[in-house]
Amino acid sequence: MAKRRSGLAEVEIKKEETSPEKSASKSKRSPRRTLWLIVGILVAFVIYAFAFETTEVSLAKIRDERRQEQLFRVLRALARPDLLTYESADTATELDYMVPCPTDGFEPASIKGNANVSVDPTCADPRAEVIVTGSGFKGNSPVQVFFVPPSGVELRLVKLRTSSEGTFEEQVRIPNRPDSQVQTIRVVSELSIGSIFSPVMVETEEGDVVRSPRWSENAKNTLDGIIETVFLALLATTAGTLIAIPLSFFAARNLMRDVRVPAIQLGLAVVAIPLGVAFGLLAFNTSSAMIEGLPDSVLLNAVATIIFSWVGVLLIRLSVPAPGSQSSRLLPVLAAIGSGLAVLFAGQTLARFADLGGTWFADTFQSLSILGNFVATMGDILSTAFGVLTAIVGGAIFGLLGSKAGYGIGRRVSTSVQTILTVLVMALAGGIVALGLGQIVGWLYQIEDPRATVAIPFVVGTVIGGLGAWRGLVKGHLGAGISVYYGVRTVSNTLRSIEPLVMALVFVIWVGLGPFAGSLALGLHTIAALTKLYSEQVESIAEGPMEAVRATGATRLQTVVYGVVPQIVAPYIAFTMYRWDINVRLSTIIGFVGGGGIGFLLQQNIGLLNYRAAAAQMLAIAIVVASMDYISSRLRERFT
Amino acid sequence: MLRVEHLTKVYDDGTVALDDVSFDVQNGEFLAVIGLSGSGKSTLLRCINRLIDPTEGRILWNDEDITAASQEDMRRIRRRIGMVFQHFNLVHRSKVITNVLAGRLGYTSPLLAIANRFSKADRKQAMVQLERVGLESKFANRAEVLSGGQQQRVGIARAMMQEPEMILADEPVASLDPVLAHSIMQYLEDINQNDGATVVCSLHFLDLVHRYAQRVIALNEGKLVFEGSPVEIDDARFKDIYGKEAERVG
Repeated sequence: MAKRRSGLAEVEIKKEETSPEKSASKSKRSPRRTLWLIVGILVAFVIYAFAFETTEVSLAKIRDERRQEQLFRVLRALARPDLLTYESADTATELDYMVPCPTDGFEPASIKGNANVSVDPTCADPRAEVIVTGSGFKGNSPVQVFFVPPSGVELRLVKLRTSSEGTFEEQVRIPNRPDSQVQTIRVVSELSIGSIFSPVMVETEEGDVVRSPRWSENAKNTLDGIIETVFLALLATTAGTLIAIPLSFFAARNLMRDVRVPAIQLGLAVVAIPLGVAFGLLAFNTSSAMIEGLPDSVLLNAVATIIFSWVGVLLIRLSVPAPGSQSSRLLPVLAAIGSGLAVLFAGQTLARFADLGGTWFADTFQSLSILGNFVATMGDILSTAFGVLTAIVGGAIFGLLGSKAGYGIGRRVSTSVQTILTVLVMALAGGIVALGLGQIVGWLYQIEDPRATVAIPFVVGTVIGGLGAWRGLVKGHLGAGISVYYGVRTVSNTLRSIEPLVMALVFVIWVGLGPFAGSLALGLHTIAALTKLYSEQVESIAEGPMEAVRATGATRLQTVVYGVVPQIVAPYIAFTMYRWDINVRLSTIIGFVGGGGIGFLLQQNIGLLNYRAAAAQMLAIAIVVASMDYISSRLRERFT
Repeated sequence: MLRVEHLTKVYDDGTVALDDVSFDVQNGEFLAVIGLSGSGKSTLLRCINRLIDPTEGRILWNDEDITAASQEDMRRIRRRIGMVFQHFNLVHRSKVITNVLAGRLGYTSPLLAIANRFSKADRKQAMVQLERVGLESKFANRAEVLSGGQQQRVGIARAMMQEPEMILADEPVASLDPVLAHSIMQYLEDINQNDGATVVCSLHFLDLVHRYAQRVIALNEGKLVFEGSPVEIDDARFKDIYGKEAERVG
């Protein structure tokens, strides 16, 4: 550093020697720099002044003794988390008392009990104000002071807490019970039975024998809450990971950059994809209606699943022609279609099998109904996911066919015909895309006018698509891959910038209060965050192996499976662990907005000023988050 | 026969990597490509199997136009062209045998290969190829634990899995020490002479060119500056190829 500075100085000296006018201009510049500095300081001053004003910074509030007292009360409550319940026993300390005072005065004979109690004065008229003091009690424990007339009935004068030293002093009013006999002041203190180190079995008033101390109700609720929290985070992470993995490949620039297709292919694909999606949904709905027609038999669906999958695999084999064989091209296509149908049915029957089987299991084995319900719900999820998947696959297949058709046309027709076709196809594609956008906007803003949501978008899209194709996109290849990349990136970045707490608010409206809303919110945020993290891992892989795999004649998919996936497995696992860690943290507070988990209890107890109960929840959160942090960092070490 | 006609490649940033290059390679020939770093050797090799799309010109292989081939045609063409790389380009985290089997991907149904399923014949063939390069005992190791020379031998085994009619070798020995260089070159020579595969190999050292190549082409700043037999490279030709300041070392 010193060397560099001296070097700089030398350079400056040289400059001064060689060009005096330049150094003069430099000395002129320095006051301007000073001015900028002053302006900068002033601006910073104003900014911080404004910041202090808006955040209401006030040391007076911090110093206020009344507020400090409140803080201390909370801190002390937090230091004693509500985890244990003690059974308590009452012990009485009694003192003789006279109302009214005899003419010659009265001195109590003795005190019954272990503690010390005195009343000033030692006798009094009815309704007189007297001061009761006590000492030798248990510190910080509840105490009741009674006036006991000869009838034996206890008239409570006051209920209070002893100081930390076990003393109290309180002004009370003597009841209107004049009597010539000696009456009694009785101080009843509650004493906890047993301690953590030597718990005792006690019989309660109801006749139950219980342990004292034992876990409090709050401790049990806290445990339930924290378990709910950890599983909420687990589900959100699992679902998020499953969806983020495929998405991350589309969000990786190095994979998508080179996916470029001629305009006519892209145009035909865009036209074909909606048809494919519609066809996929139709196939799904038709097949699901057919499966619905089958009797509700678990066994039947299990057998059907096995048969359909077997047929599917068999047909896949058939659809792959042996290398070099020049047999008919129709058979493989038919086999592929057949295998697709078989898989479609197999998925449906599997979902139904899970649904029926799970329900049957839950009904038959009541004690294990949780497992049966899980399988049944998985069946439901499977059926839904399968519908979505069928639509996607339908769209993909049709898109590929469209693109292939475009390639075929491009090879067979002359350049001028190709130009005309490209313009027409791109116009249609633009129209369809604009139509879709128009429908979304129309739905969002509830525009009922079909001119605004159908006609105008279609015409505008057609014109833009056609003109765009005509104005020079015809010959060039379009960056379809990079468009997908930007699309996925934009959506995931937008979703990622919305806090999961805010998402939870929306999901609470949708599915109601509870952990399900929380896991949906966390799951959605996890998808967005992991898509970005994963895709950055894909972008940082070594290109060489990918190139080598591509050079062997592997398809794009095979290149990803053999050239990319082995390189990213370890970082993917590491990031998933990291995300689970984050999700556990987030799920502890997602209950604040109704998303279930321990945050719900915490918020409730803070709202009820029940700080000791809240302290138990805070403690649980600290333990779980710290141990997750540790576990995840250890596991990540192993995988990176 | 491989015929390269007026091949030109201009990268997006304006760099002219290849400038009107034309030459022929007979089937079964061992052709060396020489030239300085950045003279376009790698680009030329990658244009032949279309890892890089040329800007202009045609490449014909056994009368099929590679430059106009569709994606599916390319898959069929590429699987007959093995490629060996300077930095070996093995998938480090995968097993050696998986790296070798990757050479069969061009022949495997995409659906089956995703499930990591290769036929028994392919697995057997992979072991045969590993035996040929003397690495059969390492088949279950991760590729990253092998030394440089071993990795390049795995790279050759991978290329041989393609049953190639042509091998493109991009500086196959530039990252290895001279002793290993000869052993790797001997594998390529063996493939050329006993399996009858055409070899197009870019090289740095002239002594390797003299020892292994039947014919040489030389590139300088993307232009073809020499085509002929290795013995024809005299001092004057040498300066044409490598520039006036160059000194012969090998």
